[in-house]
Amino acid sequence: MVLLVTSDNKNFVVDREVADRSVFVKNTLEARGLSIATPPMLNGGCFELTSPFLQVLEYCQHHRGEPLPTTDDANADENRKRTTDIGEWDRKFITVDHEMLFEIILAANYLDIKPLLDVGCKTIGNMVKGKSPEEVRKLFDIVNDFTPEEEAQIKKENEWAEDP
Amino acid sequence: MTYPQPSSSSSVPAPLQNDSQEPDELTRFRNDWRQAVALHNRAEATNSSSVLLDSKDGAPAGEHYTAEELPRAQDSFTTIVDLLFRLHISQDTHGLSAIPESFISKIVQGFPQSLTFEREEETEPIHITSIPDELLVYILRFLDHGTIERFASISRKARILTLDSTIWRDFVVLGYKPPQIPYPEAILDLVKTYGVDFRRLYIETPRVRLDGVYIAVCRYLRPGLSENAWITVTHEIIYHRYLRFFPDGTVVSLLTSDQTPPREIIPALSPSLKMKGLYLGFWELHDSVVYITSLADPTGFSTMPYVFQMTLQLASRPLGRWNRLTILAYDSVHVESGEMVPVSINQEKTQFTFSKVRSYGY
Repeated sequence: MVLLVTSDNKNFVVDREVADRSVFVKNTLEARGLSIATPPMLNGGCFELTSPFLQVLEYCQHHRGEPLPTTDDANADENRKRTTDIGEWDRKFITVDHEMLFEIILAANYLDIKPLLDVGCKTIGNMVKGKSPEEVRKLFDIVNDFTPEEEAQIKKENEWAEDP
Repeated sequence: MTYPQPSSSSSVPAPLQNDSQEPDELTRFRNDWRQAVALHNRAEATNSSSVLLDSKDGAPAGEHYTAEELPRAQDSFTTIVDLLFRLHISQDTHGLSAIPESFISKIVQGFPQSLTFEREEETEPIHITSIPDELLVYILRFLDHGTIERFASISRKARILTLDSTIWRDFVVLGYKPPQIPYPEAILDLVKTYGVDFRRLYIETPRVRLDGVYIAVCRYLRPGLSENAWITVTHEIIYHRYLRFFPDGTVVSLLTSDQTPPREIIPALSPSLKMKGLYLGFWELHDSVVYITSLADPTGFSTMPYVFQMTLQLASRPLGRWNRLTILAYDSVHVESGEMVPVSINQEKTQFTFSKVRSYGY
């Protein structure tokens, strides 16, 4: 068993197998030869770790014992462009509001859980797919800061990618 | 900044095509290359220890995955592109991988140096602005080029992010291998020409679209029988010719009458589709000319006395890229004698238009 302490001082006791889903935790444990790890502050503690961490733990529980992806996975490049490939359990798991989705992505990135990071990133990718620029701005609450001239130039520059 | 770490970075680079006109440049290029390999190996050694230290110290929110690190380069082909990439790389004002000199660079020159996504209203504490640029680039790398360029038009920040060379390097590495180019090393010449500008390379270098189907709509009029001498009946016959290309070098050609609507055909169009008029063949692209050979009915492959071959010009319509094919030649080939006879085909019926098909999964 491993004791994990979040930046807002909540304690979680989890199986080693679950904790090892995080390459960061796994490496830290191995490097120290201890069974206690303290995932440190995220981004200087600008947000609390507990709520996304509960989600991350749920993910790690579900995927415990699965082989960790290796960096020399021969199909890594081939699979990159298949955004819609998200497993059914993962898809339900990641059906959360934007705020939680961003937090899970940041946590997965920080804790080095690549499969979870990919699920989060693909989910954002799928949201963007098939949307007009205006719809994407609405989706992520982003202001159009192009000047009218710039906007016209950018539109022209991007015409090659259209599929009429 | 670290760059992809090719698994075989210490091995000797693949032989280059001997270019007798530029021996000096070639030698210089090879030397640069070896230096880059040596430098890279040294950098790799120091990197691995610093990563370990970071995790011990529990350093704040490091990007464990920088956008460039994630998919490690695999085969020597990717290695070559990566090495060239590193040789050409330079820092730009926005801290991302270099933005190349071109029309687009003139547009983005006018942008302020530090860019963020500006928000309409602050409703949620966590927002897309919380995601570091490296992760945003990582997200973009999952997307197709159409979605990326549309995302680019949302704001200045988005346009800068979507110019990151690693995004377009993916498209180049995945997109330009045989049969899109004559031999794997041909990519070297392209990368030498375009340098770090993988986006421009990808826009301008011909490639057969695999993310959809090329369709030619053919119409002809056939006189019909009329019971009334005062009325002439003419039937308009519409049929479709489909060409779908696969990355392994096979191509499916299908000729249908108007009995079956395209929306029923297109999702099922593959070598395993059993249908009258379906032919299988092989394709290759040389510059902007597509050569289709050994086109034959798969059910009678061994017994057919004839196969077909087709030569097509690949071009772009006013909007979009590589979405037009025009038949230049269409011949039947006698299998035993090799004798070629042109297939008569009306010139107006030889133009194919590309349609993207989302279910093909690109």
